[in-house]
Amino acid sequence: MYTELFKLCGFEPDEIERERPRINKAFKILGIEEKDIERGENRLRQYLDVELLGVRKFLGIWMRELVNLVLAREEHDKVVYSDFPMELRPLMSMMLSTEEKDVYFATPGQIINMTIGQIFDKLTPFLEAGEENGLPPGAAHCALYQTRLGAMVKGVIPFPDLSVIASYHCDQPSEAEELLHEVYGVPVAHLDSCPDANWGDWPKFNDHRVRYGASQARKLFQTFEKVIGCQMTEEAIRATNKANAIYRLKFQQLAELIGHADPQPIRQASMAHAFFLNSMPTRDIEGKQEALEILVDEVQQRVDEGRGVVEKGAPGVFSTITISVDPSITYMIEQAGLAIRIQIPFWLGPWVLTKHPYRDWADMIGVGPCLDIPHSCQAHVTINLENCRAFNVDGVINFYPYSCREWTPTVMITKKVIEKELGIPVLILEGDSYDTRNYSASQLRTRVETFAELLRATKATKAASR
Amino acid sequence: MITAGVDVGAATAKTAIISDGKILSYAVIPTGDSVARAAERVTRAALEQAGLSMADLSFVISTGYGRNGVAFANKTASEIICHAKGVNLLMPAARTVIDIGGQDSKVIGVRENGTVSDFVMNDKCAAGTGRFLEVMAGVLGLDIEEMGPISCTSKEPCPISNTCTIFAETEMVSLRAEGRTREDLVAGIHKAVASRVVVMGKTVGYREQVVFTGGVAKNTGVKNSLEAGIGLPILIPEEPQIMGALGAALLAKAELSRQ
Repeated sequence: MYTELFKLCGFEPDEIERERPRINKAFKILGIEEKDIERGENRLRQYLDVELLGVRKFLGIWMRELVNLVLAREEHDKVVYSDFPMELRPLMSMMLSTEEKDVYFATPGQIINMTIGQIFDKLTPFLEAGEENGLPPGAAHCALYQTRLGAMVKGVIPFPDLSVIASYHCDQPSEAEELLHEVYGVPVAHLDSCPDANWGDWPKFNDHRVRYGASQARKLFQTFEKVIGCQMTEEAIRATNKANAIYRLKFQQLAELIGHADPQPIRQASMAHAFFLNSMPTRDIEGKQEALEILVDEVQQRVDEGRGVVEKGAPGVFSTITISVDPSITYMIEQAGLAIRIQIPFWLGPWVLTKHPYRDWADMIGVGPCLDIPHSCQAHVTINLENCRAFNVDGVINFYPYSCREWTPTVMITKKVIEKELGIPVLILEGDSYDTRNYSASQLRTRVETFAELLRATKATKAASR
Repeated sequence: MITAGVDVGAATAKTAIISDGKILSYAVIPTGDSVARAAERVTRAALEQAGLSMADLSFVISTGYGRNGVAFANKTASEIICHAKGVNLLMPAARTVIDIGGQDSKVIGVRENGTVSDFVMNDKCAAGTGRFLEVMAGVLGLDIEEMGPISCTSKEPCPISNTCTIFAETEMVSLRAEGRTREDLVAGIHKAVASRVVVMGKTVGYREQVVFTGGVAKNTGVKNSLEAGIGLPILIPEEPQIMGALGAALLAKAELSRQ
């Protein structure tokens, strides 16, 4: 019943047959039924560019990881979890220090969101289970952590042998993991950091901040070695940094290709599947690199042929919407006739990527990710401004995600600064990155359609005055 | 060339029919349980007033939250654009529109030509909307139409939370138990609604003339509280509920001219 779905997710027929027993078992545990599969196929066709092989291959990586995650306990000796905002490099370094058959690594919240949420639109039972078991509703808990807790307590995914989390710019992971530790007895390793810089400091990090990050990373690695019973290797760290840099730079190239194209050549919801692999530790490193290479070529071809998903000449926006479970929102923006040139945090200015004084050194000790992540309101605002300037957008759609303690403080500051510095309008859209119960799509539609009309009128006036 | 605008809101459905920029007729009815039925009924009512039939309509634009459910509409438009357009026809000097309807509230900046310069709309929360007033009227056992005149005699409006309808309902019950007068309670409710909208609209800014539209504009108490909050006089069109429908009808006329 799911053959077509898996074909849409880039599986070859022989792989589907080979994997059928595992998929059957995982889908039974997950409660995926025929109507869910039909809904999934429809959503993929409606919201994503599944005619592109690169997009299908990315979907395939997520679907494989979903099956791997559900069956992790019976197929591996140890299970290690993490989730956003823990970045990829420390995780990958730990993962590559172990054998695949021994230890399974995953970011379960992300995997479930990108598959059960985005594809099947069936996240609510997980959220409710999380709410009933320690992360109640109405208390500003992040739905990402409600989801992963819900999946564990429902017995859909196993409790891990170790959970690795970070608090770069959000206190929810550490709070949720305290619950996991104290109530459910899961060992937790916490990468502490010093996120709050003075206004104007970023991206210049001082010795103190980098050394503190490094000391915390060492402590994290020691806990990992002790609990999992393995040794971190320099080779794993180097392999991680190399793979991550290659992927990140290629992704950057793709983001720039899309951002400068007119018409917009690919739906931004498709890009999310590639983007979130920046923080999900799959062992299929070659597979994700291959998917990205293919996608870049396919998008280049569309650009060369002048093909797009939004009308040519449409007003361009910078969007901070990263609703990983709901592709309908970015689709709604595109349907309203706006070209989403770039989404945060898809693109970073070259000065962030290459000119950082601690870049090489930090990468070597595995804390490079600490430097990539915006650590303060000023960093958010600066990156937002950079994005608007680099892609010459006509307006901004700034997402206000309920329950996101990292993001919400920056929203109004960003609006004010962009309107003042660049003189372009900023629309604020309230919602939730992971929980579709927290907003009304029809209410958002009114605002998006009005904003689109406003930008079209402004663009027409500017064109007439030239 | 006769065009119609149909605005199906959360509480009421409105249709305006125009010819050459002049209003021929309009009608307002409760939306009820079916968007499609309400749209058809209200449009037929407006047509009947003008002595017209559906076949006389050259172009119809629907707006409001139910805009996609109006089968006979040729096109849809967002109610924010329509409100600006409708107000601009009747009050061309208006530069700010405050619209408070059944389930949402908006502050709209309007250009001289009736286009939107900026806008802000409430999120999904019911505070600052007509729904808030309905709930509170229910608690006090009042008809919603009574609230405006009652509040005008208040000496000391009660302080009531403007952030959440549910919390405010609990507060109202407590204040009533403390023996606060009905007039002060109702005035406090109006102040709560108004202050929510006033704060929200500051990102757009309030420029004269300020026009108040939507069903809640019929409530004098809310109007007074809004004026106190923004420090500017507020004008209300003769029929504040039909501005969206009127704007939609005007857009329909413009669309027809383009074609």
